[in-house]
Amino acid sequence: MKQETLVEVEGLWKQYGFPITPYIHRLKHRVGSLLTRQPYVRPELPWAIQDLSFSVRRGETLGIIGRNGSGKSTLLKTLAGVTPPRRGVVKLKGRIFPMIELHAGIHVELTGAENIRLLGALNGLTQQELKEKLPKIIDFCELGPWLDRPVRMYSSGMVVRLGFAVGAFVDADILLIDEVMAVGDTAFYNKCLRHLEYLRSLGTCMLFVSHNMNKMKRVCDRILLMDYGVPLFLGEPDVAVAKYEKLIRPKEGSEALSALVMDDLGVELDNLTLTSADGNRIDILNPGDDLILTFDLNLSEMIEDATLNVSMENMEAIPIIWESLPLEKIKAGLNRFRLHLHQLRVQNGLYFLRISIDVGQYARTGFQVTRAAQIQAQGVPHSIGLYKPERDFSCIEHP
Amino acid sequence: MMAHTKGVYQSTGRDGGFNQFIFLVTSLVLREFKGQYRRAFLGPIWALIKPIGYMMVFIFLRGVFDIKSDGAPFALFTFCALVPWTFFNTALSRCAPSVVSNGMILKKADIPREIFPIATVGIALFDLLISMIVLVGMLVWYEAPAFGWNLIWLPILILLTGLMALGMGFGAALIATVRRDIVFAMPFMMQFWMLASPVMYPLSQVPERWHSIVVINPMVGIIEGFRNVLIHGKAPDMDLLSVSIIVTVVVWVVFLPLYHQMSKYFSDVL
Repeated sequence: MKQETLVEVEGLWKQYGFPITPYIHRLKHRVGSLLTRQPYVRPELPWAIQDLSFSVRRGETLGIIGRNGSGKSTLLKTLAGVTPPRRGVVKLKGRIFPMIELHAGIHVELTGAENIRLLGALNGLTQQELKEKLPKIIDFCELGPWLDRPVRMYSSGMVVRLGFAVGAFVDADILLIDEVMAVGDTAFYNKCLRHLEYLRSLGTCMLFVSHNMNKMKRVCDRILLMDYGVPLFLGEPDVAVAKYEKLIRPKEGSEALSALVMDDLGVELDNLTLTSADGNRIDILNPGDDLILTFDLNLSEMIEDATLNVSMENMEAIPIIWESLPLEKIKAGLNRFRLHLHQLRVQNGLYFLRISIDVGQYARTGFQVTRAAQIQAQGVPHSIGLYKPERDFSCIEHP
Repeated sequence: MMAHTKGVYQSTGRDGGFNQFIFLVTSLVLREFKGQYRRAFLGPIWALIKPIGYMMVFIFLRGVFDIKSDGAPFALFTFCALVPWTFFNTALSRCAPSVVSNGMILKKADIPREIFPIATVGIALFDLLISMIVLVGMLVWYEAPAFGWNLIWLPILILLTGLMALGMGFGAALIATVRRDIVFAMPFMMQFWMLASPVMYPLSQVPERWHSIVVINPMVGIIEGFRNVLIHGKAPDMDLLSVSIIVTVVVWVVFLPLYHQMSKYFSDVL
């Protein structure tokens, strides 16, 4: 079934500022250069968005990814009607709710209940609609007695609850989400996600901006990748994320790739090698490959009651693997270690190894080498989970 | 090649119409009115303190300079002028920063940008209503012949003052988004304007050679109109009032379309 198009963007160009400003500059220059007669050089103004076209249908979720300053927020603002497009056409069908700047319009001296009225009005509700929805909103934000206290006493998470709760009941057809919900505790965050899933099932379409690639892959039907205002790719989430990761991958030899050493114990890491099961140096880790790490730790003095940790982290610094070896007593001098990881099945991407020694009851004091080594994994395609174990998955009983 | 067409934004979502607009304005006015006095011990009484304070100063100055008051009790004479003036002053000077200080809302919601100066004048109207209570008390106390048919002029004069402040407020708010100078200049300009208006003195005491300059001040017609209606129980002077009306029409014709056009870009420049 072909769903109706709710968002249509065609040949959108966006530049910030009053459109007459360049003319004023030129006029100023003309007057100023009456004597010097210098030619006028038009200053290059940056484009926030260049020639962007796409459309979103009812029930669809479009992800928007890109580095900082790539035009993601500008796009959301243009769709929200807050800033006008310079060229091109933006057509929206239905009520829009921009879930950006959720606390906009809140007066901190007023109580939460008083602010709900204002937020509702700002989000396009009429007095009648607000009256009907008020119990639901109050129920959703779970603020209880806090609703009668001034907002200045709220924590930032509580303010977000207030903003989200009002927005959730606007009956929007188009939702613009800009990573705002990352505030608030996990329980409320999950509640928001559930509510968004529910709205999607009702036919709301969403435009979603986030830097959390795993979530994007899970939530989005298509992903738009932008860089410096230029749309680079629009389509399969897997492909878009892979392209994005290539974009943000630090350049060879840059600081973001070099090892970072923190050492309170007088330890030296040396001769770190990554090999496969047959003993060859490993370049690319394929699904099901073994990975063998060997390394030397050169100690200047004896260490007691310590733990040696080796972890493998993805680009977002989430440890996919964390292996520990308790060390009751480790003598000064050269100690050699070997860690054999069997049949790894990780996602596509670049991984870093971290080697650390924790001493005593306080973790992360002692010795630590971040990004001691890196390894490129050629992962399982279309994998959303961080890890893909050896598995058998089939229907074992059917009618 | 980029198409050299103007950008188009179409949305069918805004269906609230006029009711929604009114709800939004009243919500904004209520927010500001409640919010501004909530932490103040004296609360809305502050709306009275300003005109009463000026009245005290003027009573003192009258003793120094021997100012006439066209036969009316001086306190009533000057308070009748201070009420519309304070309304005009509060409305206009608060319009200037109204867009800048609501930048957060501008960057989020697609609401008519005219709403901010409109709500600002609405808040000033609340203050006016509070000071009217004192004015009514004084009119009764001095047994002024205000309570007759001519009282019908009063809401018209208040409306005219509000519309004039709003028209100028569109201009001031617009300028303030680009350059903040007007926000700093506003208190001084308004002080100057008040001294140039017959608030403390009667128009009749202005020397003949200054007359032509004084009457182009659009506040003269409104202030004298208030006095005519409240102190003398007669209709406003139409010659003076027509200046106020013309100025109001001119500022609306000039500033409203300009404001409307430029306001699309407010979120870009804030």
